[in-house]
Amino acid sequence: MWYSQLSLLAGVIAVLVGLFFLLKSKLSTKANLIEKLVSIALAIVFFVRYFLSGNSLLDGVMELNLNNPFSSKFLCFMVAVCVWLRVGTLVALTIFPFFKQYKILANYIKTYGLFSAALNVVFFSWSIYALSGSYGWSAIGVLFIIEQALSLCYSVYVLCTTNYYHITKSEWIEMAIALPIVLIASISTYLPGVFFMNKGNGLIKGFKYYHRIYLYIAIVVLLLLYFLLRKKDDKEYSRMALLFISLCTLITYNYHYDFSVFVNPRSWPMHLCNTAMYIVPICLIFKTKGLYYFTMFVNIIGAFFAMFMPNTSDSSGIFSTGIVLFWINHIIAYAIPALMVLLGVYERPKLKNFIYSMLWFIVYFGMALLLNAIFTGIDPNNPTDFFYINSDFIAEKLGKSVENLRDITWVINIKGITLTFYPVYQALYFVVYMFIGLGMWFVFAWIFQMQDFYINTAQKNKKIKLDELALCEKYNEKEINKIMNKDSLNKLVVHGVYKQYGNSKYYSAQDVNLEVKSGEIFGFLGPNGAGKSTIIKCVVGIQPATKGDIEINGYDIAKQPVMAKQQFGFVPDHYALYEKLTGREYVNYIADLYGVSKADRDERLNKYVTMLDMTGSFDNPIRTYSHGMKQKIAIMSALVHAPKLWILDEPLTGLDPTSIYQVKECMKEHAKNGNIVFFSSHIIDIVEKLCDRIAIIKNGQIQTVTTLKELQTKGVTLEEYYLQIINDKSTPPRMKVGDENKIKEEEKVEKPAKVKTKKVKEAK
Amino acid sequence: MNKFKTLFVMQLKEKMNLSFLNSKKQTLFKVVFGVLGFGVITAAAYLILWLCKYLHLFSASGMIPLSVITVIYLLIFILNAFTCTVGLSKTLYYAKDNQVLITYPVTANQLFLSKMLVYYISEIKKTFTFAIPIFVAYGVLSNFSILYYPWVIVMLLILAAVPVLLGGLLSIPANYVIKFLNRFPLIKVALLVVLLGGLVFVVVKIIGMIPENINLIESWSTISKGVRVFLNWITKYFYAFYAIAIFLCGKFTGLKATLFTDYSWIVLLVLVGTICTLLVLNYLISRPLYLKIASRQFEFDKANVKRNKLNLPRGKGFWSACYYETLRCIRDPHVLSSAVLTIIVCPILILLQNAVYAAINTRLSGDNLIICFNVLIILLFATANNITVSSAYSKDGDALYLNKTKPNRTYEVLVPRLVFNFVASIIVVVPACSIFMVRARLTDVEKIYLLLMLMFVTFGHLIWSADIDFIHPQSNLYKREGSSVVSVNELKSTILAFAISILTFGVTYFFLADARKFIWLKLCVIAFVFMVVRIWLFNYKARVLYKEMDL
Repeated sequence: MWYSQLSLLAGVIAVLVGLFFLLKSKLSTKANLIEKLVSIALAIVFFVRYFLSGNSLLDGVMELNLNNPFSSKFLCFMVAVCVWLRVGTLVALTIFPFFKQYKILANYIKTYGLFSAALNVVFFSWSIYALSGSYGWSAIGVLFIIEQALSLCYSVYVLCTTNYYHITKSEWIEMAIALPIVLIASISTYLPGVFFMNKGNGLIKGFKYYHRIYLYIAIVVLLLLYFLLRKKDDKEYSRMALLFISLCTLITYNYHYDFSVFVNPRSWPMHLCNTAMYIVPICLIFKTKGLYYFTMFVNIIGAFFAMFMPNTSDSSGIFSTGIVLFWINHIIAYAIPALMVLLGVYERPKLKNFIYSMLWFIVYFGMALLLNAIFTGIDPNNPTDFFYINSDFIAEKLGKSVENLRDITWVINIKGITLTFYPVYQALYFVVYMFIGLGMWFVFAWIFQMQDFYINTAQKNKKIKLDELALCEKYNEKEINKIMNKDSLNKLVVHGVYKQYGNSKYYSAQDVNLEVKSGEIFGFLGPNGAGKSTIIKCVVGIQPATKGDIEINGYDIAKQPVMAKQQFGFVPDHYALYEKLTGREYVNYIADLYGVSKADRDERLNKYVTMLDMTGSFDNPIRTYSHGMKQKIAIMSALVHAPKLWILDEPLTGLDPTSIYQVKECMKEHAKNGNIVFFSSHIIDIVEKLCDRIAIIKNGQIQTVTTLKELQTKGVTLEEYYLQIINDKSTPPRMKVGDENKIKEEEKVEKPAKVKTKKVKEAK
Repeated sequence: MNKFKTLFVMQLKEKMNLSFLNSKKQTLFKVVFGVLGFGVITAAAYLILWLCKYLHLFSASGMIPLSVITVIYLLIFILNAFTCTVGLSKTLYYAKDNQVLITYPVTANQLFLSKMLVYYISEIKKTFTFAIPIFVAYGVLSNFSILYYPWVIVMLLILAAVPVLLGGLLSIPANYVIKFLNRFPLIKVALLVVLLGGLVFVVVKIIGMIPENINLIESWSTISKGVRVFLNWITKYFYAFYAIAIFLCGKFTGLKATLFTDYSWIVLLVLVGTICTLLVLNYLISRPLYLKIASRQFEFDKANVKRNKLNLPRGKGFWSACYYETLRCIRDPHVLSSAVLTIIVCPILILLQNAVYAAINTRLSGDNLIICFNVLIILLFATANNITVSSAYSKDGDALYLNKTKPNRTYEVLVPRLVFNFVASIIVVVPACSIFMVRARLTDVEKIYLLLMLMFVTFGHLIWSADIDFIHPQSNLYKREGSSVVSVNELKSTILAFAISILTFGVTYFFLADARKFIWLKLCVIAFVFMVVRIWLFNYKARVLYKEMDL
C-alpha cells in the first residue's frame, strides 16, 4: 500500500516543482501573493487533517513505550519526533510570506524546516498509520501526504529564493536562541512525562515546592521573552515571534481536540484561560484592538489567579499531560498578552479601551452564564461550569458567607429544561472581576511607568558611552581622562550651548558662545531670569547642557566631569553648606575631595581665615553662622585647591562692605596669579571696576561680549551700555525648542537661492 | 472671612497635597486606591475580629463585647492625643511657613484657627484610614443595622476633634518641656537613661513572670478569663470611653444592639460640651501664646562651641566623605535617635519574644513559626532604621546640589551618606540575631546563613530607600516645611520595609514548611541576589541620572 502512497507523494511534489518553475518564469511579479496563498492553503490542509484525526494511535506514539503501536521502539520514537518537529516547520512556513523582512524565518526554514520536512517525508507511511490507525488509504492519509509534500517543496523554494545557505554568524546565534524556544513551544504535552519517565508526584498547588518551581518558570518565561525581544526593539519582529510561539502552543494545546469534540459544545474551550489560547493568535494575526484589550484586562489576571490557585488533581504527576497542558495554557494566557503591550505590538490602553474590554467581558460572561444553565439543564448529572460561575468551586474557597449567597437561586423552566441561576453570587462574581480588571489598569500603568523609566535610563547610558567614545575618537585619544582639546588649555570655552529645563517649550539659554582666557576677570551681566545662573549651572556641571560643549582647561564638563571639575572652584548664589559641621570641618572635607595636601591646606586656610576675618568663628558649627559668614566659608572651600577657574554666581549679595572688599581682593589676586575669574553680578559699579571683559545676556542669548577698555574709548559707562542693550526692543524672544533646526533648514534653503540669484545675475 | 478662607485653603493644599485634583486620571486613581485601601483595612480588621470571635477569646458565646471596642477606641484616642500634641507643637510653633504666615495681614486668631482647622482635616483623613474601618468591620461582624454605618462615621469624625483640641492645649507645656530639655542636655540624657533603664527593668520583670511551661491549649480558659477580667477593669476605670463605645455602637440586649437610646443623647450632650470647653480653653490659653512662641523659634541660638582646630586630611575623597557624612549623621538627632532606639529596642523585644517561645512546647511547625517571627521582627526593626535614608539626599538639599560641582564620581557622593545606616543595620541585626540564635534549633552553618540573609535583605532595603530619594528628591518639601515633615519617599520606604519583611517571612515559612535540603543556603542566595540587584540598579541609575538630578 505504501508504494501507492509514495507515488502520490512523488506526484504532488512533481506538481509543486512544476508550479514553482511556472511561478518563477511567468508569475514572478505576483510571487508574494502566491506565497501567501500557498501558506494559507498549507495551514488549511493542516488544520483539516489535524481535526480529522479522531481515532488516531498518536497517543500511543507520543507516550513512546507505554502503548507503542509499532513493533520497533525506534520507529515509534522517530514518528514522535516527526510530530514534534513539524509543528514549528508548519508555523514557520505559514507565517513566512507575511514576515519576509525578517531573515530569521527564512534561515529557520532553510535549516530546521527543511530537515523536519525531509524527516517527515521519510517516515510518512508510519506517520499515516499513527494518525489514521491503518496503513491503507484514508482522507487523513491523503491530506497528510499533500501537507508534507507542500512543506518539503515550500522549504526548498525558500532555500532557492533566499540566497541558499548564506547565513551570517549573528544570524546563527539568533537561530540558536530561537530554536530552544520553538522546541519548547511545540513540544507535545506527553513528551515531558516521557522524558522524565513520569517521575515526581509532588503537588502543584498550595505553594509547595513543585508549584513554586512552575511559578518561577512562568515568571522566567515572561522575563526571558521580554528581554530577548526588547533587545530587538522592533514591534513587528515581536509580533512575529509572539505569533510563532502562540501558534505552536495552540497546535499542541489542541492535540486532543478533533471534530467530535467541537461538535459537542459542552467541550468547547469556554473557560477563560482556554479562550485565551485562541484569542491571542487572533489578536496577533488580525490586530483586533477590542478583543486584545479584553484579553489584556481579563485573561492576564484570570490566568495569574489560576496559576496561583490551580485546580489540578492531587494525583497528577508533575510532568503529567494534564499538568503540562495546564501550565502551557496559563503561561500563554498571561505572558503573551502582557508581552504584546509591553513590547509595543499594541498601544498602551486608554479609558476607552478599558470600557470596550469590559463590554467584551459582559458578552463573554453572559454567554458562559447561559451555556452553563442550558447545558446543566439538559444534563443535570453532568453539569457544565464555564468560568467556574456555575459550581461552588470558588464559593467554597471563599467561605460560608459566600456559599450562603450562592444558595439564593433563580429557576426557570423552559420546555422541561430547568435553567438554574445564582443571581446574587453571579452578579457579585461579575462585579468583583470587573473591579479586578480596573485594578489591573492601575497595575499596568505602574508597570508602564517603570518600563519607560528603565528604557529611558538605558538610552541615556548608551548615549553617555557613545559620547565618550566619540570624544576620544575626535581627539585621537585612548583614555577619557586625558586632556582632549589642547586649544582650550588655560581657558573656559562655551560653544553653542542650549539649555532646556524638563519638558519646557522654550530654551532657557540658546546658542551661547564664550571664551575666557587665563588672567582675566570676566563679568557676566543680565537681568533676573536672563539665563546667567543657567549658564553657570551648565558650566559647573549642576545641570547638563541640552546641546553644545563646555570645556574647562581642556576638559569637557559633560564627558569628562571628574577631570573638568578638578579645574574650578564654585561659589553659588546661595549658601549651601552642611550646617552640622563646623566651618573648618566643612572646608577640610572639600579639601579632601580635591586631594589637597596638609601643608597646602594649612597655608591657604590660614591665609583666607585671616583675610576674610573668620578667625573667631571658624571652629563653630555652620548653623550658627550669619549669611555673610556662610558665604565666606563657600569662598574658602572654592579656593582651597587653588583652582584654574573660579566661578562665582552673585557672590556679593548680602555681604557687608568689608566682606565685599575682601572678596574683591581675593578675585584680583586670583586673576593676577594667571587664573580665570568668571562671575555674575547685578552690581554694575563693581563689575566696571573689577572686570577686564564682560558679557551681557538677555532672553537666554548673549547680546554682547566686550572689554571695559573698549567702552572707555567709546566714552560710554557700563551702566549706560547695559541699559541700552537691556532696553533694546528688537531683541528676539526666547527660542522655542526645535526652532533652531528650522532656522538651520531655512539657512540651507536660502543659500541655494542666493546662488541662483547670483547665477541669474551672471546670466543677465 | 475671606482672608481666613484663603489662609485655610492655602495651608490645606500644602498639607494634604491636593495636586491630584487637577488631573481626572489622578483623581480617579486616588479615589480607587482610597476605596481599595479602605476595603483592605476593613477586611484586615474584620479578619482579626472574626478570629477573636472564632476562638471565643472575649466571651463564651464568641460575641465581641463592647468592652473590646472600648479598649480599641481608648488606644486610638491615646495614640491620637499623643500624635496631635507632637504634630500640633510642630505645626503651630516650629513650622517653617510661620516665617511667612506671621508677616501676612491676618490676625493671630485667623492664623491659629486656620492651622487648627487644617490639622483637624488631616486628622479626619487619618480617621478614615484607621478608626472607621475597624468600626465598620465590627458592625459587619455584629450584624448591626444599616443606620449604624452613617452614624458611626459621622460621630467618629466629630470625636476626632477631641484629641486635636487636647493636643492644641498640651502642645504648650510639651513645647516648654522640649525647650527645657534642649537647654539642659544632661537632664535630657539622664531622663533617657532612666527611661531605658525602666524599659530594661520591665522587660526583665516580664521575662521573670513567664512560666517555665506554657501550654496554650490547656491554659486557654485561664487566658480567656484573664482577658475578660482586664476588659472589665478597663470599662470600670475608663468609663467615659465605655460610654462612647455604647454611644457609637448601641446598647446590647442579648445579641442585639439598639442604636439610639436616651443614653445616647446624654453622651452626645456631654460630647458637645467637652468639645466646646476645649475650644474655649484653646482660644483662651493656646491662641494668645501661639504668636509669642511661634515667632521666638526663629531667634538664633548662638552656640559657642570650639571644636577641633587642626586641618586634618581624612583620607582620599571617598573615605573622607564617609568620615564627614557619618559625623553629620551622628550630629543629626533625628537619624541618631532612630538608630539608637532601634539598636536598643530590637534585641530587647527579641529577648522577650524568645523567652515566651521558650516556655511553649512546640512541634516542628511551631519551631518554624518561631524562626519566621524572629526573622520578621528583626527585619521590621532593621528596615525601619533604613527609612531615614529615604530622605537623606533631599534633606541635604542645596548642599548636595553644590556637591555636584566637586570632582568626585557619583558613588563617592551618594554612598558615604549610607555608611552610618549601614553600620547601624549591622549593630541592629547582629545582636538581635545572636539572642534569637541561642535558642534556635539550627546548626552553626544554618545560623551563619540566616544572619547573612538578614543582612542582605536589610542592605537591599537600605540601598532601595536611597534609590527612591535620589530618583525623586523632595528637597523643596523640606525647604518649605522643615526636616520633621514626612515625605512621600519616607512613606514609600516604610511600605517597602513592611512588604520586604513580610515577604521574607512568607518565603522563609514556605521554604521551612517544605523541609527540603539547603533551605538556609537558598534563602541566603535569594537575599544576596536581591541585594546585588538593588546595588546594581542604584549604581546604574546614579551613573546615568545623577547629573540630571534636580534638587
